[in-house]
Amino acid sequence: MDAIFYHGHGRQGFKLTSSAASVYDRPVVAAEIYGAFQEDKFTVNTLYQAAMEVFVRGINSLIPHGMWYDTEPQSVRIPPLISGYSKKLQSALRQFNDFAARTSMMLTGGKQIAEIGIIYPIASLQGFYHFEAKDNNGFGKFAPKETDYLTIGDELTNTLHRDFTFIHPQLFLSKQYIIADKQVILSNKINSQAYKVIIIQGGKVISYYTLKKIQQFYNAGGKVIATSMLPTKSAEFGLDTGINRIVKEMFYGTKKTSTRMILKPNGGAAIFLLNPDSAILIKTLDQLTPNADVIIKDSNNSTAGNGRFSYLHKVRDGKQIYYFANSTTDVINAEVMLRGK
Amino acid sequence: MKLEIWDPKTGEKTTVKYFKYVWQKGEWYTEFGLDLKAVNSVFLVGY
Repeated sequence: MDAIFYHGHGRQGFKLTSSAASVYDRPVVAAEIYGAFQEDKFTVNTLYQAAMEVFVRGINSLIPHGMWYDTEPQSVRIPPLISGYSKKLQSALRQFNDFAARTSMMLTGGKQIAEIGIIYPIASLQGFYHFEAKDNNGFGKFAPKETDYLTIGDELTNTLHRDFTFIHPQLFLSKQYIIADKQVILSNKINSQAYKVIIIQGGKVISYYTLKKIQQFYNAGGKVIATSMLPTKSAEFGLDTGINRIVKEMFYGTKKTSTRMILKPNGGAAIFLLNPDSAILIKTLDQLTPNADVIIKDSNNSTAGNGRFSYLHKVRDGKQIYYFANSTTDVINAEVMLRGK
Repeated sequence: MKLEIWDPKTGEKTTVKYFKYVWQKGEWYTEFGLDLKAVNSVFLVGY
């Protein structure tokens, strides 16, 4: 992936890349970084802030952009210059290189603990998109207004501190995703994950077969949250009726203005959140899965310096490895609870 | 659980001395205070 243009740009989407690495069980996830960041605003802090934010979202190898062999200004066609020839960075690079190498080493491979799976709403995005649309400026922001997968992912990472993995709806249908013990298991050799909650993100369109498998999970005692808009159209031809039947069965009685939870005797639960802000998401997740892997009480919740405070938990070589990254320009004092003793 | 904090920037390693076990909603948790400087990150490694 590419962390480009400025610190914070595209941050909400970084986990799409690391989620793909999870499903394919790949140990290394690389990011090109710092390309076309504004030279005049680039500082030593920027080096660390951008790096921490990709690391904590599952990337573990950095490829700095802008390491020009010829450092004459006319040759550095896309600043900033990230090298020992940069007067403002040169004295900091040795320590930064140590930091980047150590962090890469610690985060490479292993198994990530993420207990929420978010169904990537690709069918809704594709169903809406067309190149000639009047409002399509070509920068990837032409999406239906109910699209919320990036903002909710961001809330989970930065505010609620509940880690998650995006799930591609087609891959979800494969035998790699098994429903067992009221969980969806991503059955990988190394990076296996177990999702206690599946989130269907806002969107009009979903694959009928994907929704059917989500319903199987719900019927088997699984917890499902739908946000912003329930689907009404199938990604496949002629299966809209099936979509509407399943939605009715799972979210029956849910007026599109309510947040009623439909419970099954075996523990299965389905809830539709029309306005999934932080407060309602916290309340819902605490109700559905109160025993989070990591609980962080951070009363500050700072975003100073356009930074964020987030964590990542991996298990490797029998060790529990937690990475806590504070890219804000504030001090963080948090109470942290780790499941287990 | 033995907890060590490792700062990847400086390489400094310290042991978390002050923590407690908390029973919450049917699970044991290890609770401790985490202080992080501005623009900084740490690893917490549990054995």
